[in-house]
Amino acid sequence: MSKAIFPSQLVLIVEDDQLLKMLTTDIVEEAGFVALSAENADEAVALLAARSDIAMLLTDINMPGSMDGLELAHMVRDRWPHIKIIVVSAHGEASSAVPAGSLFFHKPYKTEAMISAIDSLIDAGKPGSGGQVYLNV
Amino acid sequence: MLSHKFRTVEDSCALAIAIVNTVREPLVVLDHDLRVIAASRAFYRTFKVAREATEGHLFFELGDGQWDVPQLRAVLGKILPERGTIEDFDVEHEFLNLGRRTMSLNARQVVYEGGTEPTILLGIEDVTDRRALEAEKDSLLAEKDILLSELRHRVANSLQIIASIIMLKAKRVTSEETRSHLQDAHNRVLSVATVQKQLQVVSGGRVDIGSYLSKLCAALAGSMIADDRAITIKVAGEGGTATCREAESIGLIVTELVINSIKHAFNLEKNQGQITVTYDVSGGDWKLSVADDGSGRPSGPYAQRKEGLGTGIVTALARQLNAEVDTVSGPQGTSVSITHAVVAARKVRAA
Repeated sequence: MSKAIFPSQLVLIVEDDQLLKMLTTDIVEEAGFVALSAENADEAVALLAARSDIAMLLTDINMPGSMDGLELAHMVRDRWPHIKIIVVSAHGEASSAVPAGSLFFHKPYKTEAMISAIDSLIDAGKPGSGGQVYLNV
Repeated sequence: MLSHKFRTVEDSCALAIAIVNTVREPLVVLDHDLRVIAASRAFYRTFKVAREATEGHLFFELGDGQWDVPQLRAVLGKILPERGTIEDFDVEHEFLNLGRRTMSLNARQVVYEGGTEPTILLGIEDVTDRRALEAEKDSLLAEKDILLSELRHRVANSLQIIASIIMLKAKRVTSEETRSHLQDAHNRVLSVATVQKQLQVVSGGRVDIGSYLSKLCAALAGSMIADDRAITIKVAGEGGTATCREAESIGLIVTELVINSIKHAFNLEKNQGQITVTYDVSGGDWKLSVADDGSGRPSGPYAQRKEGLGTGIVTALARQLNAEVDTVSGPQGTSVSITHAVVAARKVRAA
């Protein structure tokens, strides 16, 4: 099912809830990409530092570890600006705090909407699509 | 009757004093000026006051005025003369040798036929510990309700996630039959999740059915009706309250019937319409109905001789509620009524 035409189509899911991680993995695969997962921000940073084929970060905000998902999203924007970012949270007020160009999803979200967002966000960054295009949120 | 047992007034007095001294709780006998005539041993022991500093003294002056409490003045000076008795009247006060305590007062005004001025019997019970335990119990019960609500919310969320996973799997399979089974499983899990999510218990362990069904149907409309289908769900009726268990069953019945209507009542010829959910209560009886204005279900589960799973679930839940199921289906649509009436309940139990 994977669309692995381009090397950088790995989606890093950062989620400490196992059931949500299963669902998000299925969503990413349904969108046609390969899912990689981390339990917290520290694990995510280690993976991001070790690999260069991660195209997207899909992170929850509330999780244990040295930083939350929002801090992780800002760090990723600074250190790896080519990586697309989707932040999810049950608390809608966090939507205005996500890094510019990233998307925010309020939990619970519709799976179709998430599939479509992953697809369009990654497609927007593909070669020939005009380079990095940040969606307005 | 009692007066015949005693030959002299002195004997009657001796009995009265013995009674006062026998009771376990502090007890004082006051004259109409609220001066202490007698007090029980428990009163002296509990409030650490001497007999000579008590008897003959005004009650409100005892123990440096420790009983001079505005609430108590109101009870003995105004309420008691009007009512004759006072029961379980709590007074919270800082007592001289005891600290802050809650005392429950029981008082009775004794009126004599012979013209003697009325006296007051005042029983005092220290209920500080009992009231603290009651407050703790209330607090724990409130905490339990919050935890239960949180647990229900979490269970509903988990079920919603599981339903989404099943739906994604349904999209991936190639077999139509498998997809249909997975979609059914998705609907069932989602319906239980929706019921759990909307089930909010109000005070007294009762659920407001009107508000519950409105939220449930709004959630069902949002999750079960595809964007391109013009089907609305309306909630009507007088509503009422039910226990949490009953509300859960009612919610599952409504969910099952609404999903059935969405799936079977509206087709290519008639792809828009309304589903009306009505709940009415009359005394201990109630009637729930789910009616659609679709094309009827001549080949649907309710018209089939063999019962479908949905029908089985509705029938089983109705039986749990001691209610009867009645289905009417025709060209104007389908209406399923669940009726709990005293007579119907007896018939169901006897069956």
